[in-house]
Amino acid sequence: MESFKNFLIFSPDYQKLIAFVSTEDQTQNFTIEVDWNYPINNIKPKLFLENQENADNDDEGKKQNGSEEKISLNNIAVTEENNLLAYTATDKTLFLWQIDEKSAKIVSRRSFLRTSSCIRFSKCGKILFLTDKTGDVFEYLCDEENFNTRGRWIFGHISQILDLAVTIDLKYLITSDRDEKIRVTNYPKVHEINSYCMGHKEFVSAIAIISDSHLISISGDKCIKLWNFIDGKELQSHSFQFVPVLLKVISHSHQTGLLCVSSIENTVYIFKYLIIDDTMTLDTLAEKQFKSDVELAVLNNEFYIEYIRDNDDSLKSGIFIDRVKIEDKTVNFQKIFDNIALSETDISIKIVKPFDVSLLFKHGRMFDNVKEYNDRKKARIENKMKSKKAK
Amino acid sequence: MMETSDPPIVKLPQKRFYRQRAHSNPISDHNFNYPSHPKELYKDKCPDNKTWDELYPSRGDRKVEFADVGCGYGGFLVSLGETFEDKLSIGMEIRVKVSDYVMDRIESLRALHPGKYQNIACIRTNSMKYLVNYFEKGQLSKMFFLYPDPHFKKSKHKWRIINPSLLSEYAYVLREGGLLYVVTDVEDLYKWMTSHFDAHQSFKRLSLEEEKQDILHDKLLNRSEEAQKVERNHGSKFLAIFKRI
Repeated sequence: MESFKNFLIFSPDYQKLIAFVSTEDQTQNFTIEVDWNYPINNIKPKLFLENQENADNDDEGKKQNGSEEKISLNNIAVTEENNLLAYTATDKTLFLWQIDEKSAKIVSRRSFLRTSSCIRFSKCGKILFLTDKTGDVFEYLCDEENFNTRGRWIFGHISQILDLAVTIDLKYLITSDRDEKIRVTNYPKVHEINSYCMGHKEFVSAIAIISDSHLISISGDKCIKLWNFIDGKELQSHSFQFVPVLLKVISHSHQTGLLCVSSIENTVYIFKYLIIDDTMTLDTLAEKQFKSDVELAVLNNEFYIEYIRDNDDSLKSGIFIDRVKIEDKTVNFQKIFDNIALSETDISIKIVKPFDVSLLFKHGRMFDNVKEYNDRKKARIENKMKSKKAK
Repeated sequence: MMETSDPPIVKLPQKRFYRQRAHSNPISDHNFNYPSHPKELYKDKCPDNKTWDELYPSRGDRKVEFADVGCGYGGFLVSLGETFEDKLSIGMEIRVKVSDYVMDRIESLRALHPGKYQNIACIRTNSMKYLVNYFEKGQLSKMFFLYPDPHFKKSKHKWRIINPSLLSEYAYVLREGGLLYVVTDVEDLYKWMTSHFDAHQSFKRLSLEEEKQDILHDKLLNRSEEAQKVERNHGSKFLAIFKRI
């Protein structure tokens, strides 16, 4: 789920996107049909100065073998100006749509190399950053002359990248990974690492920039941390009772705002935060348990939660959206979107979620090859001692 | 009461008990203990990790400045410690048995030569992933990559320890003016690595003259176990030194 200035966009199934207009009148909702036959521009980014011709050929064979697989959407992003919509598909293509008040049309479909994990536009909307599951980051120019330009590799982690944030001034790209790291890279001098924000003890599932120097991160170690990302300093750490997965922020000022956090058990929490002298206080406003996976979005300074309603006899299952209405200290979860766009054929309902975090935990479940070796070494030395004594 | 048993005889560890195949998958989730932040190792205790004071008993307020990444059996590391007595050098090795050999070797050397070899130590870690867990920005003045695994297959090029992603990380832990040394006996890998350094804006290669004048030049070509193996097989060796600019 991703938010435009005036509407939310989400995918209830594999084939289309639904835009939800932020009024109570559901007749204004519209759908964007994804044209899976749109021609693919097979200009993959170059990796490691390698000969591109070979790289392209490498993939050709694979594609033919696995062509039966159904394509679905991976990540969605929209520009702040609402003029461009981008999404990545499981066939490793990046769709770009140009949108104006009356129409929407696909302007390019560019191939990329590996399964994407996150896409984000810069604030100006002219550059899109794409991260993938093998840890590489690519830059796609998205101004009119460059709709079909080849993506450019800009830097990489030796780990799965889970989230990317771009500062408003476009001076820094911030990426978080499965190896507990948050990396702050200079832009456009992407070969320079400005800082690392180190301290998490499990994967860093989401990050959010909340001021010129403050960053919030959530991790599989159950912690939410506040950082000064310019100098990579941990300012504060707060431990939740749950594993946080998704994070959305509504900033009211440099110091105050609201956080929406979902847990691995699909409980959604709303917090009010206040930062004074680099210290953050969190005030819990509300929590609500959902029975399905959830997705979070922000629209017109309100949080929206997308979920799948249970199957029951009387009603077909479908996608729902709750609006979180916040007035002072009271929070209401209002159901505002019914599954109107779903038809009988929409059997494969799926929330487009970037990843399954349960697979990302590292600590305490690795094969301990060190212990095995040390045990054997101990036995070897003991045997030697014994045989010496026997002599 | 009188001590009746003989004092233990210190012997250098025997390599035959520590052999391990030369390749390791740096992407897989092997079991590693590493600090979550470099500052953890300056504390009195760090759970599951040796602190710098435990690794270097006479550290004082010095910090590690030289890193031998993929130190193998530690031949060059020992030589490095002898050459720069007042600098702390760390050997980093991913293979369990090989790193254990280096640790046992240093322990024996210290026992055989009291007061010496206090400035070298070895840790088992995956440097491709966890380098910045150990070192702060600009902490190192020399880094060594001697006879790295060539990972010949194209699909494994990402596993090479010199690659464009990691060069930025090495530039981050190296201070300005710091030196990065690369030696290999595989000409194709040498070309591949130097081409990536040439393309990276934080590094500049030293001139051949400057490289020859480096105090470590001959040691790099002769002192590691790998170097001696290449020597025995009459192979060629390729060396390059890059400055962090």
